[in-house]
Amino acid sequence: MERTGFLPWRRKRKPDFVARTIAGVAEAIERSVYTEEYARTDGFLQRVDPRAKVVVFICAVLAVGLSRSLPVLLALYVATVLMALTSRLPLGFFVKRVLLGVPLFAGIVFIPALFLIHGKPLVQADLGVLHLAISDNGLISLAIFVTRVSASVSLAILLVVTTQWADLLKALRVIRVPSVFIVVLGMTYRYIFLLLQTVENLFLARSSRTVGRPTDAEQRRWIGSSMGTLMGKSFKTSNDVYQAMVARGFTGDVYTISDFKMRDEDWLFVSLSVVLLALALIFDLGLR
Amino acid sequence: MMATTVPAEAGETNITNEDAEHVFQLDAVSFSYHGRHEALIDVDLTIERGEQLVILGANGSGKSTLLKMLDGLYRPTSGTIRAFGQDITDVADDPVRARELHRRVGLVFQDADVQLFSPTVYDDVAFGPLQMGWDKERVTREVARALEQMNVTHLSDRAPYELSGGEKKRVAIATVLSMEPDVILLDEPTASLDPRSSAVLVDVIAGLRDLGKTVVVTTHQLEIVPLIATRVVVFGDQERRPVASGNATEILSNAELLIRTNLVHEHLHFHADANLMHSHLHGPEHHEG
Repeated sequence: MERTGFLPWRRKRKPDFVARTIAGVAEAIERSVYTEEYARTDGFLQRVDPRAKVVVFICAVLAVGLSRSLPVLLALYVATVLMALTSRLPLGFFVKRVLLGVPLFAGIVFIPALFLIHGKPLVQADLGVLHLAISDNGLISLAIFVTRVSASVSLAILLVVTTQWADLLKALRVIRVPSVFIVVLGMTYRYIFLLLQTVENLFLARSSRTVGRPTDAEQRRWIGSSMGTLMGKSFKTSNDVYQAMVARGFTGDVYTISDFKMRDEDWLFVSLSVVLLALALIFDLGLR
Repeated sequence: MMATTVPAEAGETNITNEDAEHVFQLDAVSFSYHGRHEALIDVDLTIERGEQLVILGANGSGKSTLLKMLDGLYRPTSGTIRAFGQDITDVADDPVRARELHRRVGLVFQDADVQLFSPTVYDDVAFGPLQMGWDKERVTREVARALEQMNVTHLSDRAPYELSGGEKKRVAIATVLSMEPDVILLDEPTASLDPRSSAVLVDVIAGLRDLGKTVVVTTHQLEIVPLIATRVVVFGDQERRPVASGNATEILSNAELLIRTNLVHEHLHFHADANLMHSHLHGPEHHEG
């Protein structure tokens, strides 16, 4: 909000938690909808059978996990980026999702190990009784770790973003994920939207009836009561959904239907990918 | 192709007593939630084959509870309900017969979001047939038919949360039509729909009669009653049982009944110089000057 001429002395305040929550919930819903839009785009991976994608994803994650050389890991990461580009995913969207969080998180996890791996010291510091040194081997290990995590997360994003959620769930059956797990996962995703909308409405209703800035104590009290309300609503919804399932013959076992068809192109995609990943691993072994 | 997983073909369990005259027969049925709040008190009601019954009642008159009881989801606290000539409590106790009851009696919930729990419309419409243990060809055929009957075939790959209110309602009806039910129970089908979606849905409900279905609709929206009802039963919100029964014209012209059951309200209006007490019914015949 811009400053007005009537209140020149007022400083721009940070939005309180209500405004932040409303914005966060709206953003979460919007992001999810946009993600589904990408899955409907006519790109390379979007045309591949979801089961083929799941198989290749598992093989690729295994290859990334087993690989120990930085060049091979970097090559695999570049390959995922190229796949994203051929699948018409915006580069900024894809890379930002990975690079903003993963290196930071992985780096923090790895920092203690950075000082424990022996090798040729590159940076040293004496802090009294504590001698800290970062070795060349430590830095290489950090780079391998961050690249491995980035490549794995990129693969997961690539799979999720280029596959409609419903298809992805059905495709999980190919790796023998139990039906009940798939159905529960699907229903969780389905009803999380309703709960997000409920949260948004709760916060909007509160915001519309609030004048001035509530105290921290008031805000804490309200959060507590909202959590209770949300829990009650979600409990009622789960009961209603269960009744709706029973009303259509549900007796505890879940049955699903699949109309996927593996085409020659899908088999080719799986075969080529597996061969290339195997070659990458063999090359990786040669570099050790 | 991925194998379809369906249970072993369930035999067509017969829960029908073909000599039964009524689809449902309720004798002195009461129901209370947690033994405290009485939702229905001493309800006597019969529902005939092929009729389109509208149950009119204000909020809290027990309409939704009644539909859940007719579908075997709630058991009466006292009294008996017979569905197709069989005691519904006995049927509900037997999982195989209960499944057949749920196939023959399709319940469309008031909140379509509750009914549409699958990732896509197609999965939702296929859910019931798959639970029945039908083979894949039959499931595919029935789903296609139900989607077409409700004119929602083009929505089959969409996620339920992407649909409009009217579309959700039509898909919700398709989810029960795919099970080839004899009876369709609709709980407040036009609630919170815009006038156009409401009109489309009224046409859909009226069309169910042409499919030979027995239809029971609960509502408090008087304007849809003459369009869909062959018989109307009014539930009192104080009595929590039927207080009147008749055809749409008889019921809707009984202003005193509608006011007493909170289906319309009366209040003072100033019309020019006249001070009139009148109810919110259509037509000048209801004005009491």
